[in-house]
Amino acid sequence: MQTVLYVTDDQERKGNKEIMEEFTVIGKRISKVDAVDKATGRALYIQDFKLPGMLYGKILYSKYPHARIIRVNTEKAKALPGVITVLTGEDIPPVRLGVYKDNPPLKAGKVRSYRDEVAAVAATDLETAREAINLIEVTYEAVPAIFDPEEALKPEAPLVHENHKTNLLKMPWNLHYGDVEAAKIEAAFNVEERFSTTWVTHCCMGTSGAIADFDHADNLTVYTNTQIPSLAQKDFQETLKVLGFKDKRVRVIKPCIGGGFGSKLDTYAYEHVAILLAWRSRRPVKIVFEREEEFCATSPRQPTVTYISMGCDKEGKLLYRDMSMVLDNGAYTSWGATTPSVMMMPITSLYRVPNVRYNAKCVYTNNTYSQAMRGYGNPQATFAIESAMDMLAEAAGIDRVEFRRINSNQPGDVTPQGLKITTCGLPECIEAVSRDLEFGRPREKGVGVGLASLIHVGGGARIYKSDGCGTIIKMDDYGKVDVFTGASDMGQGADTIIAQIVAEELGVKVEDVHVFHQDTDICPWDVGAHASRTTFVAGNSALGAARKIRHRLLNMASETTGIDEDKLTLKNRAFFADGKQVLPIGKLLRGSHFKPRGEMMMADNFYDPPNENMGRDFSGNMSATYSFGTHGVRVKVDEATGKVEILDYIAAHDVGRAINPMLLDGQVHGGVLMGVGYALTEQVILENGRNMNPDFRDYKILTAMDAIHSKAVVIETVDEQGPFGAKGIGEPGCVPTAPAIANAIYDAIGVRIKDLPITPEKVLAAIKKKNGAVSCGIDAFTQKEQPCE
Amino acid sequence: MRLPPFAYERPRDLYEALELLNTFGKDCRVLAGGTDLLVRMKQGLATPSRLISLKDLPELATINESDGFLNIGTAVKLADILAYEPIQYRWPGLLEAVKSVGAPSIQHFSGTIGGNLCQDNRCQFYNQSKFFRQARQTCNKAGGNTCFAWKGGSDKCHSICQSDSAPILIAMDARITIKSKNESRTIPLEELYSSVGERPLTLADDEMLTEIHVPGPVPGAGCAFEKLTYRSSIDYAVVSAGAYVQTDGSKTVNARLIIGAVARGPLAIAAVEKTLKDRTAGDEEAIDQAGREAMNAAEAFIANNITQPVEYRTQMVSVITKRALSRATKRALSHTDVSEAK
Amino acid sequence: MSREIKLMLNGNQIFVAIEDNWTLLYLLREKLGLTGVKEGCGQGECGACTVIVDGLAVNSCIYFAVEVDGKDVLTIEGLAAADGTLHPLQKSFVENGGIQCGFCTPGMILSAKALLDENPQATEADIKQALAGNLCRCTGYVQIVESVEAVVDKSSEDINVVVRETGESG
Ligand SMILES: Cc1cc2nc3c(=O)[nH]c(=O)nc-3n(C[C@H](O)[C@H](O)[C@H](O)COP(=O)(O)OP(=O)(O)OC[C@H]3O[C@@H](n4cnc5c(N)ncnc54)[C@H](O)[C@@H]3O)c2cc1C
Repeated sequence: MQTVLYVTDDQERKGNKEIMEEFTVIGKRISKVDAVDKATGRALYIQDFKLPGMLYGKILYSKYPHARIIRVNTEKAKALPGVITVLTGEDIPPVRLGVYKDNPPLKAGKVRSYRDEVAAVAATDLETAREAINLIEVTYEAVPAIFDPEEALKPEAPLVHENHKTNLLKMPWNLHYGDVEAAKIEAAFNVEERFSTTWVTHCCMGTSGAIADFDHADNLTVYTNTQIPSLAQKDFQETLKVLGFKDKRVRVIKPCIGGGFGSKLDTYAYEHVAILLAWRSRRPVKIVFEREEEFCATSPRQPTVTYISMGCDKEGKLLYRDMSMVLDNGAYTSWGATTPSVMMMPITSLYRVPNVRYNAKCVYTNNTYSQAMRGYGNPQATFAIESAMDMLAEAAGIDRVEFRRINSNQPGDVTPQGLKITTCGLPECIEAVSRDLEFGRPREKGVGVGLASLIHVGGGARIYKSDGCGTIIKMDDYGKVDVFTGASDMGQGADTIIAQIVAEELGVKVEDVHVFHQDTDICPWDVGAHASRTTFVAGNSALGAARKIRHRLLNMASETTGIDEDKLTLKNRAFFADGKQVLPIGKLLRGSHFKPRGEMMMADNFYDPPNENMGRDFSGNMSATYSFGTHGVRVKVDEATGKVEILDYIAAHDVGRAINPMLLDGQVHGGVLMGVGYALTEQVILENGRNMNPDFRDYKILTAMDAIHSKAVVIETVDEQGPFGAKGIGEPGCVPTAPAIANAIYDAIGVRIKDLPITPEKVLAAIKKKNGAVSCGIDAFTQKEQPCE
Repeated sequence: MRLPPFAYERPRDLYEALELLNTFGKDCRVLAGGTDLLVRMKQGLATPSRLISLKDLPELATINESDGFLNIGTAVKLADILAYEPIQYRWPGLLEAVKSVGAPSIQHFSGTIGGNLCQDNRCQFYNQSKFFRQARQTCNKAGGNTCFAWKGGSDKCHSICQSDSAPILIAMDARITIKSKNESRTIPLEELYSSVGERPLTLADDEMLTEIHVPGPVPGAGCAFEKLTYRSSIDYAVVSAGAYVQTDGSKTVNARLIIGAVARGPLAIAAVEKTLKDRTAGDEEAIDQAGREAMNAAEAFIANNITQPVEYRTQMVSVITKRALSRATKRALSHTDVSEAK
Repeated sequence: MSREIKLMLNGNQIFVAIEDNWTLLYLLREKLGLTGVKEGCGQGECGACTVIVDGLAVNSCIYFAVEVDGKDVLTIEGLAAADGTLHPLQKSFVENGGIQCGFCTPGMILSAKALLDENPQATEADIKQALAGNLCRCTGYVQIVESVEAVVDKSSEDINVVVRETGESG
């Protein structure tokens, strides 16, 4: 194990010679391989695809949050010229979606949220489909609905799924390591608090969409925006089975994706509805969401209510952390319900804490149903933990930065949950932030600083039995390389990273490498783009395949040239010996093709990282390595309006190694601004289950004028397990942002906001309360007293 | 998305435009930049059978100064107002307001000043898709008889006027010219607004706005526009205020304050003038009191018609008022000699 | 009503039959196949559909097709030179990480172009202001603003180069 520090921001390299070895493409700011297509408008997204004879599908959603469907009259819609197919929940076989298989793509009998799909139309053009939807008459009988997860747990609450007997999902997220009760007695300082987070949504700029197309033999092709092509293939296969098609092929084609962030981790009703419409009409059917649908009918990050208590000894060493959570699952179940599995990681393992208890309840309500979003629960958990860390430091009278130093994770730690911390740049991240942000700077009125850290899986995450990814590499006559990967690119640059890794290993240029990731007929299997796993897992998989090729190439070159293999090097598209070029790769390959009993250059590799599934007690080393980071922020609070302005922001991340610093910076800057939105402005406002702000006017993702000068500091720890030492960095950028900001606000004006987002009205109400005002105002929507503090 | 069919007219001169308005009356709408109207048409909120485009009417797209007035044609683009240099030091409040509208690529290059003043009222329950609205009863504004924005319902429409240029222009005592085929009248801008949510403008069906006349600055006067939003662009105001303050170099002699984005029309706070008059210009206590008065006056109007809570907006009226008045006063005191003002 | 309009589209004069109720976005994307013009919201909130009409960046989703009659329209497809050489802004977005998922990119680049044509020496604040109507969810805008700034810098360098050359030859 080696921990080497390399801070890119001041270009100072310290430490071990080994990592100073000259790379030609690793560590370089290389343009994304698809960037030119995107800059010229040539890149094709689902919106841009058209197939011959294609129909346009539209979905009719529920008018009620909870109601029986008495009757659906589709006569008028069917009579409209141009309408080819109309389907309702009664017309389809029992297809079921989601983690719990509790969600039919078209509902029959009952709707459980406004988002419920009641009927669907396929027509020759979009306008006709839209018109037809308006002609469908549905008679409902409303039944009592429930929107608050804590209320939904009460015995008298209406049941969202009668068969399920309770609104509590049967997923017992419970763990207890050490002895929390004993530690509570022992602790010198304790804090106890309630925090909450709200619904926020991915807001991909490219809306969701799919095209389903059957061939003459009932094989299915689905063009869809997905982060999980192989698992989507399986889901669609199941739908085919229910339709009575056995042994048919499903091909998933993935166009360019206009942003993922977790939204495409599951298959959704609209994809299966497109399949059903195509099945019934025998024509390709395309469904693309309008922006309002994207807001209302995709699955957001779920709200949480968190109770946390935490204590430390006199020296400030953490003794225990005790957390319980209620999560709003919404009306159906997708991966949102499994986010506690990732929340466990920061809860048990962010900072050294010997005794930990955690319990989470996911609850059915008549709200839209939840999905994971960038961080997979980690942002919600870290908000509570890092806010409470500041409170505990204050209670113990210890400087906040020092408190985190005292408790920082260190290389070689094994956490109570059994996470094996190998490389760990957390201490360096804390130092970088505290140095850069000048915590000790003289105070100005209304200005404050705060920091918060994170731990995240950086070496895959074993959620399924496999955490694997396959790669096939072949080389052509001219030394060009085709890489077929299971990985998914949704804009983050997976294809570029893989091209760099392969190019480095094979001594070719990045532009010689073409990465295919769009098609399950061509690309190998993978569990999907989640858990910041792509660089690590798909990168290792590609590296393994490239190594096999490299080995074979050297072997053949040695045979051809008569030079010893270990005297040959591979760079610049050729073999070199003693610094002189002896043979171009292309020539060698052509030679091997054009000879008796020739051979071709191709290799495959399946990489499954050395991580573990969680055991019954939820312990296990779920990732092969962990990413760390610390964010620091200086804010200025306008005490008259409650508006918070961000003055400085620094994000330090332990990334193992920056394979492409430019893309890395992009992940960090993008994650940070998304995190700032989560902290300050973003909120899906549900009024009794209805989305009140399904547009960019009122759902406030930040604009270019709100962009902040975030400074990204990269700590390279060169992880032994990572491809060229890299760890995952896709999600961490948005994890500690909200608590860092909340902590800075507290530092600035002495009020702690415990409910996200920290809107001006909440800040103002808290200031008033602190100054002794009686009322903190009534929330316009809930008509309840505003949570002042 | 395509829109329901309508007839598109592109008159070559103002007379032709007015004649069309005269012939087709309430079935047609004037189309200026379209940045407000098209969104409403897409949502099914406006269903004109005829659009009369102002694109070919250069006579409505000029800015000039004459007789102490800044005259802005109704079809002048927001970007052209921003680019008109004298506005920077002579009418800075107007500059602030225009700059704050939406975002440049969206509004400034297409949106016009006339469209900004004549945009229909907004409400979070009304400015939504047909699908969204279908799930509820039809509200007053859509021709029904209920209001979701008013606690307990209301027989009036409680939508709000979101024009950013209206408060500052009214504060500056701007006048407008309205024309129909047979008539032309010039009235104070505030008379354009009816304060009726269902039909917020007083324009007759055959009339249109043609020009805005802004008085030139007088020595010792200043104006300012304040707008509270959560983001730095795109957002409509949570609360806005246009302030005009005239001083004799030490005392306030005249003041006007118009609050925007809280009521059915721009809201003139009459008490402010009385409060500030003859008090030392910039006197904090007086401005504080003006803030409270504005808040008290506005309180009765503020409905749950945007996503920010009523209580908060009410409090913000006072804050925004004070900021607008302070800045206008500061400008007034530094602009004692207009000819040199820069 | 349908009618024929005439416009310069990406440097070529075209005549095209349209309906009055078509938006410019619909004409460009659905009828002329210029799918580089993206639809992100349809309501003038996100800027993905930005095109340049007579030098000004406008949202084509809230702009009627009939209103470009006689005008000059530039979409992302027409930005690179005829021989495929990228426009300096395109090149800069590619090289400086201004592109992630790419959905906002065409609109973003065109808003930036409209700005720089008007004001080649735009400051960071000018750039942010000009891009304020183009939403991006991936980048946090940092590298987008840097991409535009890099072109600003270059154009001033270019001027220096020209001066030096004339100096030498003279
Ligand atoms: C995302 C977004 C954000 C926005 N933000 C703001 C904001 O912050 N502040 C703000 O004030 N507005 C905002 N707007 C609304 C609008 O874009 C601006 O008000 C713009 O100035 C309207 O001008 P226009 O020329 O485009 O109006 P149009 O859409 O052409 O017209 C608006 C209305 O005025 C009528 N009209 C236009 N000219 C005349 C005339 N001469 N006589 C009679 N009637 C006329 C039209 O018939 C129509 O009903 C926003 C719009 C969008 C889409």
